[in-house]
Amino acid sequence: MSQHLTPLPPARDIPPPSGYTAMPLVDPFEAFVGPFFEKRVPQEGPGFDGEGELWAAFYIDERHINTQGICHGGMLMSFADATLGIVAWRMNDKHPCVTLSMQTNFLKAGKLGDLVEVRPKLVRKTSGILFASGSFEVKGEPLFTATSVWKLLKA
Amino acid sequence: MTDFPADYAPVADEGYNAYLGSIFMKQAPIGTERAHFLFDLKPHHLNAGGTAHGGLVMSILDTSCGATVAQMVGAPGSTISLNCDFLAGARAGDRLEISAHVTQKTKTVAFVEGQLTAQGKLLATARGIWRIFPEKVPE
Repeated sequence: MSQHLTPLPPARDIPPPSGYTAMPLVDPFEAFVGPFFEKRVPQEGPGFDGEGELWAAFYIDERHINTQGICHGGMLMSFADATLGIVAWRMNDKHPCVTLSMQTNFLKAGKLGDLVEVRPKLVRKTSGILFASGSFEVKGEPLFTATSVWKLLKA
Repeated sequence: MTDFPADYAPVADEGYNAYLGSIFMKQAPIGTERAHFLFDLKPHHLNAGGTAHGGLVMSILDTSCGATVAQMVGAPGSTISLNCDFLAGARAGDRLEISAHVTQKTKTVAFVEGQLTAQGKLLATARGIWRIFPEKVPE
């Protein structure tokens, strides 16, 4: 939540997919369900800070599976909260932000071993509120979508 | 272990739910449209600010609302859509109380509402739609 926090080691040591690096995770819960991965693809426009467009990803492993053998909805919502929150945090000069609301749709089942990828999108930023959304995909096919509303804290 | 009341039992306690820590559900007959749950918040459920991570809160609401649908229908369903609002934060050591109820059920879907409180304070609300499979209900 702050640039001064030290990243936590994720609960599992899983190598990143090709082109990705490990995402620094400062929230204990994200380290517990992680690792998550990130890469930057060169892109211009608001929210990119000259760092390129953010891609984020995680592998569905056996910790994330529900009683029906597919990815638990809660894990997808956790990944959405983490990754859409990065947009809010970056647009708030890396000050903390809190989720006010999240709306999610589950389009198909996520399977064990699937790599879930998202390019989190800034929708709109006002002085204290930010809207962000994402389409979470496996091999380019939409799995899950989320829209979100964030409160931008001052410090 | 836990000091939850004797009529509470772990719900869907494998995989992700077992990994996070058990959510306990008050036992009720099949067909009951309302359900109650308890969950103890631990340090690994938090964000860097020391409050419950939004993803953890949504995970608990998803499991609780889904278990409520399963209790009402008699067979598990699948989340189609879930919307959550966050009103206030919870801290480690808090006992979270979740209540959920099915507001409408058709042949193929169920509509559910849930709320999450700690010490009587409303922290989060959820509204969702589940795909249900009444044909899978054991005879």
